[in-house]
Amino acid sequence: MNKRRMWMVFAICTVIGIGLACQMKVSDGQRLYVSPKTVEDYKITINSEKEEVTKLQLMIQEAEEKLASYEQDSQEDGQSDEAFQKNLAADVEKYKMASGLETVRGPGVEVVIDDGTRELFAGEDVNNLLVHDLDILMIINELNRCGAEAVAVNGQRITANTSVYCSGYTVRINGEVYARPFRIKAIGDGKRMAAALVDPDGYGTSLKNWGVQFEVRLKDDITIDALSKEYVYRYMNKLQKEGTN
Amino acid sequence: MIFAIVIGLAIGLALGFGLDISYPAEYSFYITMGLLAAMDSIVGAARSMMEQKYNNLIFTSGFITNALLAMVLTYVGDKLGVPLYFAAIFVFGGRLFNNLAVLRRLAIERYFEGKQRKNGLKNKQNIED
Repeated sequence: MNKRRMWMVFAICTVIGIGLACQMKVSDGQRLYVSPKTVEDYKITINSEKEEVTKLQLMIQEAEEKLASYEQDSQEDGQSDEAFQKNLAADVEKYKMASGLETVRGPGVEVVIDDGTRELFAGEDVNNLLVHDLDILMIINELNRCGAEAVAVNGQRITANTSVYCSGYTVRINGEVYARPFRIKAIGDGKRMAAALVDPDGYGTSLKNWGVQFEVRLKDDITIDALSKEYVYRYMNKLQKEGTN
Repeated sequence: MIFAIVIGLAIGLALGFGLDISYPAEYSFYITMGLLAAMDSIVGAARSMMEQKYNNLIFTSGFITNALLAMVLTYVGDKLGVPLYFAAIFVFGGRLFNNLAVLRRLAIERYFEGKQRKNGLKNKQNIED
């Protein structure tokens, strides 16, 4: 009787031991306690992802509708010619705005940078206090990162082909010579752009630390002029796909 | 008896780590609750042995039904969105401590009884001397 008891207890303990070991291997100390906050965070993430998906689906739908309307327009029945032209005109307008060939207007920020006015330390390099081409480039880059839709420096529109480079005490932008102070205007989400620049790690803050004058102003109404000269493309040609002309 | 428990657990752990038994991670919580119930029955068995009231059938049936009930409670709680497994945690966890306390008291009592017996023997010997 006693022996049977021993074996029974032994067998059940063995089962528990196996269970414990498996549990340790499978859970590995994770997935045991998920705090409600974590669950909530995941819920929010999932919801935002779902919204993103619906937005993308809408975009797809719009594109398909556009395509369908184009196809309808291209069928030569003469009546839809006008609609086709309207569509084309709207597209041209959009691309002109994007490429800097149109004067645009909207809310945004104005950044002003200027050479520093503080006294130099003994033996300090004067370059520490001057605005360089790199500073302008970094600020343009930061603005673009924060969703700027149009940027201009001292009235010169920044486009895809813009160059900013140093030429002595001045800076050449798109081949035009500009001197300090530099006024950089950007249309977009002003609060976001300004916040990025004056952030403790932002570029504006580091300029101030060097002693360069730096200022950001939010503006409700900024007008950015079109590009002063049009690009003439001499080397670039559209890739002709086979079967299309 | 204690040896049987310890050796059984050791062999079980070795087997569990040695053999490659794996199950989906979703079930791990139910298994945990079942194990808690099982540990409670083992400590309960040890206590009843100390009290000379051990019964094999009660032990095995309690072991199985407690583990199953804990798992079912956890599962139902998951489905209802109510943390019912707290019930299992409080009951079995509390019982674990209770049983351990009783075990400790019994062990200490026995120890003192043994000491007294020894002292009694010594006293008798002294009288004879």
